Amino acid sequence: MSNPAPNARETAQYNARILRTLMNFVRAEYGATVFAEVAGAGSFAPEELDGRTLWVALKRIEAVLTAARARMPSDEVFKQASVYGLADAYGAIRYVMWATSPGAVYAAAGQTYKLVTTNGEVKILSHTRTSMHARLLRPTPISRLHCLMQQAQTAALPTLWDLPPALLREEACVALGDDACVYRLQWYDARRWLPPVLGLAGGSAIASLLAGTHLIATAATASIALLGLAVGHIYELRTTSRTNLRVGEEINDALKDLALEAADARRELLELHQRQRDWGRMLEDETTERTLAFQQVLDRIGEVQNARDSTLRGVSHDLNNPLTALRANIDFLRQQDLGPQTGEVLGEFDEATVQISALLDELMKAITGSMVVKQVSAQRLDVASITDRLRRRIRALVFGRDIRASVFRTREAPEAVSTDPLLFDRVLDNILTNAAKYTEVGSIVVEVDGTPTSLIIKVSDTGRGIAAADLEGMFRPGTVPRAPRGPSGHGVGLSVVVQLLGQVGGHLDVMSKPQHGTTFWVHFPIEMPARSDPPRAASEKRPEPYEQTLGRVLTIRRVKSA
Amino acid sequence: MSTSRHPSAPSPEPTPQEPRVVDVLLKYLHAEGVRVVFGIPGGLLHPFFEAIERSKVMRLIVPKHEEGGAFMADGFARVSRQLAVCAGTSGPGATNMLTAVACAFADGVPLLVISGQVASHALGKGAAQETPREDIDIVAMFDPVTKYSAMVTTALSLGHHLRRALRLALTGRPGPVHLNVPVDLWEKPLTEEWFNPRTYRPQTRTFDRQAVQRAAELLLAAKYPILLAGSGVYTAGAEEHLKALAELLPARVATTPRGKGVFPENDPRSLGILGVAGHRDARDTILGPDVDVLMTVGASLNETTTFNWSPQLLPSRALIQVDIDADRIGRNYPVEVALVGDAQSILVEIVYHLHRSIREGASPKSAWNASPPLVRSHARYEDGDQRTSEARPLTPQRWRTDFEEVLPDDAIIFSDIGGHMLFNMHHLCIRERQHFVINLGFGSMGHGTIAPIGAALAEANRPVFAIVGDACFTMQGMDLLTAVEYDIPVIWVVENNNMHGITWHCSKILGHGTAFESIKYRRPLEVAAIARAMGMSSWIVDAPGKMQDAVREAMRRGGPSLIEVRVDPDIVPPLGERMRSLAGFIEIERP
Repeated sequence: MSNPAPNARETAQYNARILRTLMNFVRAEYGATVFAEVAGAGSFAPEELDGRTLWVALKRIEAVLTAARARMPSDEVFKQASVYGLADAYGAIRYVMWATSPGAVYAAAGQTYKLVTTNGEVKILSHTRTSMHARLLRPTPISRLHCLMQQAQTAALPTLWDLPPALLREEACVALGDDACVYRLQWYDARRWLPPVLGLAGGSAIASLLAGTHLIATAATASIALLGLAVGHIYELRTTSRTNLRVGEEINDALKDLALEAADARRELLELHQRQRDWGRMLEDETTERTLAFQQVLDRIGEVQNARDSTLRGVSHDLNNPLTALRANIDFLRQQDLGPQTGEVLGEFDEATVQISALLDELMKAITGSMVVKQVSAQRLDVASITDRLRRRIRALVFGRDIRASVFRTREAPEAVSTDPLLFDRVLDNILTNAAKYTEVGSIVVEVDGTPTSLIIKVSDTGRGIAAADLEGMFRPGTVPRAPRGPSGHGVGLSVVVQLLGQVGGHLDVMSKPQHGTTFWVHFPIEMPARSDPPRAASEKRPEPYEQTLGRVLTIRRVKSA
Repeated sequence: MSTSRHPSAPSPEPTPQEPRVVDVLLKYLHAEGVRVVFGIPGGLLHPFFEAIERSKVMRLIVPKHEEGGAFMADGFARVSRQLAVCAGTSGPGATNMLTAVACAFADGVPLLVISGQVASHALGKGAAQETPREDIDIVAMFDPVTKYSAMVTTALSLGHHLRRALRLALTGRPGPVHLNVPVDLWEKPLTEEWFNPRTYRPQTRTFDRQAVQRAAELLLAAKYPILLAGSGVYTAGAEEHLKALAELLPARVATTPRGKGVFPENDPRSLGILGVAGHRDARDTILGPDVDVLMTVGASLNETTTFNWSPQLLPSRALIQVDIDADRIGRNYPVEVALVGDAQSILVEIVYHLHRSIREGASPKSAWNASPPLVRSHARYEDGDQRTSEARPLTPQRWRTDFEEVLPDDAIIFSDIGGHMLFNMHHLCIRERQHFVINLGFGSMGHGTIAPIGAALAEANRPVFAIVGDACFTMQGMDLLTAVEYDIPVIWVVENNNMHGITWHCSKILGHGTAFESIKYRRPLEVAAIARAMGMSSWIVDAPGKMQDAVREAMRRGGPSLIEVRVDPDIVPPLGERMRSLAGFIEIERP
């Protein structure tokens, strides 16, 4: 799902450990608050600068250096701060370093530079026991302050042996536009000669005191013997020292190798981790893509199969809605008084819709007319979706007319009903179309209600109503009174509604009052009853007489007298 | 009163010859439709959990923390609008549930909370984890966050306490109730009269007919009527009725932040949210000079909705307030017509009354149809251009636009509390039949992360999403393991900015540019990796246009899964009004 993250090593080039001595100075000289502020300049938490390994971007290091320098009076102080407590910073490793020499440590430091930065490398151009010429390559240029810190720390290395700092001569600096930083270093361990010189001086003094006395011969004899002892001891010391030096160098080499291996392993781990993430994401993307493609193929196959089965039924059924909207729009345009010519055109449109309506009736009869006696198939219909559909349907039916319509469910409405969806739509289409057809102005309310065993859809309109005497006749086959206006019936008639409801165990209540309106209550059982007909040969099957169905399905409610 | 010595109601399962206290309790719960209990078993509630585990009709869901269990029960109750049950053993098991119960109390969610207690003969003697009245009083601790909190002291009093608790939880404004039961009572024999729920729990659907008539007249005569819908509309199941009323007048409709989604936000009449993270349309219209009649439904008119109780919210002619709780009516504004009762019943009655008036020749005077239509494009949102941004890092607005594209029509979406919440409120358009849930009453982080597990159990056929922040995930995320264990299909979308975003941005504003850096994480949080380790499918979305495939794939797989969205942490959430509200009273310029 995602693209690879930026390579962590490209941005995290420096180990924050290089700031430890400088930050120790800041804490000691300026206090914890300033320390936290300086650390914060590089987005570091104070504890992150306690010498732990933390790889960060160069800009964060530079930000800390700038903030620290801002609090110091001069570059000299900054340089002193950069080597503050250097011996402590090296910890126990400095005893190993003691066994070697400044020259060896400089050489090792050049090799292990990867431990503190991945920005370039150190090339030692030449070196002797007391001098070195080095070139520090920095592909990502660093600031002058950074260079100053680097110089101070480099020059201070001999102080670990209690020697004076090395003399550093700068020949080039990346911060000044050069390709690399080039340093010449010289150090001199004169104090190492002090004990032998003092020994020589002491010996000479004793010799001069004894000169001319009788002890001189004894002293000379003893001195020669002691000299031999001293030479032997010095030889032994020299051998031990060389052994120590060799051990020190070997330990140093081993540590250097370990450090380099650790740095390489870390880099390799980072790369492997990154590669694993990339592969993981690639696999996920690939899997998603192929799964979706496969699903699309399956869907397509399903669609083709379904289309073959349902096109005929679906088209004829779905044509109802656009036809209704078309008729509503024609009526709406007619009301706009657009002139006689337009009126004629609209009349033609109207006739065309009547013809289409008739054709649809035929089509519907052809497709579903036999449904009354055919087996119906139950599906689970979600009542919330049914309510939405009824709302859209009634809105289309009354569009552009002075009729207010409301559709809602009650708490008693069941969540779902199991019935034949096409049959359900035909019944409700008929009832809603009639409500819209016979209502000129006023309102229609559709309430989706229920009992524990049934779904009840109450459709109440303010149409012209039906006289009590005519009411039952409305449900006789072939009786479809002509509507004064509004969508003409392409429905199947109330008699078919009764038959359809009879098939699914439904019920229809009606109450009407002329000039006031009509209310239908359509009941669907939540579970469609199983057919109870005893098994008979197909030729023996006889549909239930309509009168019997009518008596079973229809209830005419009396209007309460005012 | 239909009571009987020989219980006629169906028993959840065969009970022993002599019914025990626990059998009677389960029978009442079964009669109330409870089928799931959330809780972590413990010694002092052992008989109760043992009975649940042996039950063939009740399911025990064991969370990883009692607070998670109570959140799950809350989620179950919120979407099903039914009673949910959670339980925790005595001592910490009970106190762990307190925050979640307070959440349910603040938002009016019906929960039965059962806590364990030491044996009645040992009360006050220093038993392990005891919480008696005279010491660490667990009943008193639950008292301010429930509608009823009591200790059942004898077997014979269980029926009385339980029926009272259920009556209070489920009538009027719903809410949690708490029963504390000493461990020795559960298995004591109990034969008592059986009360069918309808005999002890009245249906409160009454209303003042004259007030309804007056409200209908005012709405009929209003030129610019506005409906302001709160979460009470969902509690009452009155979304369709609200819509029917809005269509009939027509009226424009805003929701409170907590009521987001009770009116479809893509509807041409929707003004969006009024208040925190709200929309310009709602603010400018409702605080503007034109509105003559404002009807609030199930909205308590608290600080988050009213811009710190701005007087400009009052309409020029009449404020009509519908609420089940009389105590919330007229609390902050003078009300012209007060309608105390169930929102659905009242709205149906108003709709019928309006139809009757229309049939008698009256006509609604609303002029909204003649007003300029409301903008439905990205321009309706603050920072609307960010919704189509191709920028990387990904903007929080853009992934929500992508998310809306694939969000199913019947989705239930939970939001947790934090910066992501403000983006959810403002930038997620909730459509008809979708349901948005947030615990703004108490505002507890972690609720939106865990409650969806309960919701998915309650509504197994609807896809459930939880849009949460990284900090909410770290607070309560271990309970995602519960969803994995029980294979409960929630899809978590974790917006990861590696910090407490809302606090960071607020602190930056309050501190004049200096933010609390301490609330940024010390190391990046790998949310997707944690989810994988938990056994969930997970994806990372960090670029525009990638969210759609992730959601489709998560839905196809079906089980619990997680999508980590890595966003630009510098994008400021829409918290301007919240900040101004914190700062004091708000004056909005009239357009």
